Amino acid sequence: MRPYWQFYKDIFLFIVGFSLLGVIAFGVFWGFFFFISFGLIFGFYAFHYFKENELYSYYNLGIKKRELYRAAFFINLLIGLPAFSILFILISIILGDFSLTSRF
Amino acid sequence: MKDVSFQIETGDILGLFGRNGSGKSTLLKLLFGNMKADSIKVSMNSNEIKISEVIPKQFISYLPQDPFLPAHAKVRDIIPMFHSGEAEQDRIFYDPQIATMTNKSMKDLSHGERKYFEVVLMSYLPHPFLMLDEPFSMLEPLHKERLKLFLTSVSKLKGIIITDHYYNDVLEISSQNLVIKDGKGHLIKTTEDLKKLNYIL
Repeated sequence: MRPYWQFYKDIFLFIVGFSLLGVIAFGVFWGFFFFISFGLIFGFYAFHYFKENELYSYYNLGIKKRELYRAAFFINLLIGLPAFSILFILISIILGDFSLTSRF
Repeated sequence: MKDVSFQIETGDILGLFGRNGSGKSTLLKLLFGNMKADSIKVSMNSNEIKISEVIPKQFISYLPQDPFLPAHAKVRDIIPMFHSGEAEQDRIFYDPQIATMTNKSMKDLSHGERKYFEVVLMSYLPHPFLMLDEPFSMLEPLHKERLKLFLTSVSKLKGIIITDHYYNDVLEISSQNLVIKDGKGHLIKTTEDLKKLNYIL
């Protein structure tokens, strides 16, 4: 589990950065959608761009790219669901707006 | 690369030489399976293996030239990521050289410290073969000597391929040597052979 978690930590900031733009531009629901889809893809792309050589760490552990991506998708979903649920509730309470597409 | 072949067994250290651009690193990547060759054949214990199986079945571990460990991770966190067994972890944690740097992040290690740590980390992996791309580059003499002793002891359990321009250091510990020239592999025995193949003057 440690290598998969390490990989996820390495792409997490890229995913969050990208998703934050989604939240600001389109609201919490779309932010969540960005987080689990385009944000993740952006994270993979950024990893390849900035840290490609680190893939050798995972190769040496017998882990291929496809397995890394699959694990990152599930970890991302496990983190994204509760995080965005809390965010949605907080924003709804603060703004008094319970529509899923509410913006800041 | 057109015609390169060799055989390596547990206990062997193969020194791989060649001028820049001759294909040494490419050969290692082809064997590791993260670069595709038009044609390549690898056998282990007389059984042909698919290159695509090298990584998932952990046949060969590979130390690339450039840093490859997560830059922001600390040495003490990287060791358990690669080695879950307590005995292996202890061997690495208590290595006199590594014990002094466990609290440092990879990005804060000197080139020599990083290289030494990477080699030790890779060497204790269970893979029967180990490939090292320039393990001696930029190492201070003391680290180099320690590394040579270490690799000699590791070679009792694995087959090792080393490519490095520090040919004297490689020749000191290697049991067989190969020079790649014009896409072909030439087995050599002495430094004189290196001269004949225009690798050194």
